[in-house]
Amino acid sequence: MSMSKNPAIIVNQLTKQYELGQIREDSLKHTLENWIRGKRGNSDKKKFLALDNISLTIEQGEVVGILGHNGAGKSTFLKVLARITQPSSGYAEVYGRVGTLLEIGTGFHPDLTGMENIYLNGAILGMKEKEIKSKLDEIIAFSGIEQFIYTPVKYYSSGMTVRLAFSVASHLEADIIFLDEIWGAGDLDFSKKSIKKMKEMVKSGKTVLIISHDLKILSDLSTRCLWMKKGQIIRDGTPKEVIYDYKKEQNLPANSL
Amino acid sequence: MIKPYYVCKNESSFSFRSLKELGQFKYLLQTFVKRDLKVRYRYTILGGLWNIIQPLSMMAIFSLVFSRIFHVETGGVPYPLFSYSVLIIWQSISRMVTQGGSSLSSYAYMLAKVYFPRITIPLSIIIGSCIDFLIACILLIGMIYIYEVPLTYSLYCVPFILTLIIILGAGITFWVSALDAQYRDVRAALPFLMQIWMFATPLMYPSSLVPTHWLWLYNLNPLVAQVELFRWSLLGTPFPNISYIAISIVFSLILFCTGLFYFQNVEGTLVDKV
Repeated sequence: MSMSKNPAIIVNQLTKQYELGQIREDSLKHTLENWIRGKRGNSDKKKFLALDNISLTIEQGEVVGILGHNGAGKSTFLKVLARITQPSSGYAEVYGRVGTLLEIGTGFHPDLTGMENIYLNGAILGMKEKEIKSKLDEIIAFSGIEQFIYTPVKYYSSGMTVRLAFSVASHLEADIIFLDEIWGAGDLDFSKKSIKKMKEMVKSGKTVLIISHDLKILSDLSTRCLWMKKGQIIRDGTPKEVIYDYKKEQNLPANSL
Repeated sequence: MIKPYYVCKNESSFSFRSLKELGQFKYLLQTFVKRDLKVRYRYTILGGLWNIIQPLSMMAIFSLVFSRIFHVETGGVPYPLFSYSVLIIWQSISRMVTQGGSSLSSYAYMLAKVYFPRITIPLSIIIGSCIDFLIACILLIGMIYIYEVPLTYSLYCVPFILTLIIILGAGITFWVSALDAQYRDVRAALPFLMQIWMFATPLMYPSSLVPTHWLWLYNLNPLVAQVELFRWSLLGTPFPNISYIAISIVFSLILFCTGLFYFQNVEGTLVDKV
């Protein structure tokens, strides 16, 4: 941590509130009804705080592991930081290009080939065609799916998709990388390969935020751990301490990994 | 202190963040446009010909009905030319609004995984529709040549008229795409509304057919004056009433600006709804 003192991400009072029932249940009728009754303030909707007033600073080069139960707000936290959805209040400043690998599938377009998707992802990251071209061979070689690179992604197995997605995310010019549960679908071989690559990335000074239920991966890779519960960060410290406490709460034996 | 690369916060509708970022994402927009054209041209047998076949077959049917059966008066302009010239405009507008309108949902899985200015998605369909129009224009130029239409200086107005039509089409597309992402009703109502709009526009008949005391209502449709202007500039049909042109310009600009504001307003939390 003493390597550099430049911030990668500064989070200040970040809050994300969902209205329960907001997702997929909005109909024109519902909105009109509310208008007519003169209560646009959705007073009858329950509110749910996915992120509750989070503040913290992440330095460049830190590898931050995030753990917690399902629904604790881990994925929402990364989604807000990646600008996929806006927070309700508060803000986060991000100092660098962000590459994301959020759950399986990433930002691939199923109708496009693997090759076309590499270009698309590079473009999404804000890279120019030339920059992407220079990384192409490396990305394809690492993914190990050379013979399918001209096949539309919709015909890929989930393992192949993850391989390509990880390869793209780790090779494109991102300074900060968000990973959300990516080790579910890949095989053991690729898992090892990707963890090795992650360690290289960490050495090269990239900032990484990882969500995983696999405590071994978190303790192997991270330099700092956050434990989230009900939209708040309830513990922030070294992986050893935080994972120890987390296990204690879960009644897991402390020495098992 | 160095400047952040970006800030995540609750943006106001007036921040125009995604418009400011368009320069940075130019290559992405290009990729989306190419993808849109590729999917439609590469994966269909007739490819670009569909752009011509559709308005051409509509023209054939309308020629039969309006020209042969009802003997509609087109001011000396051959009926095929009279209808085809504006049917290709309609085709592009209609594709812009219906496909651009549903474009956000078709990219939903990408919206949920990565950030990019959301406006690039409807914008790519708008640009794609303009390219379609240019392709369909090839036949129009051929027809003008075959029918030996005398061209005048009014031809120089064509770029302005087309710009106005694009502004109108884009404005409605922004509105529809932002509404479609939130309300399922839009998809159900749209085909039917588009049909009404088509018949309320002088595509296959001249607006002189509309009773005089209804003209004020008829001209609240901003596309009416635009279509008439386009025909005037190419084929020398009568110049539309100047006050109707003014209405058309004002309505188009209002739709465009409000559409853009509304899109900005919802794009930040689109993912929570799509």
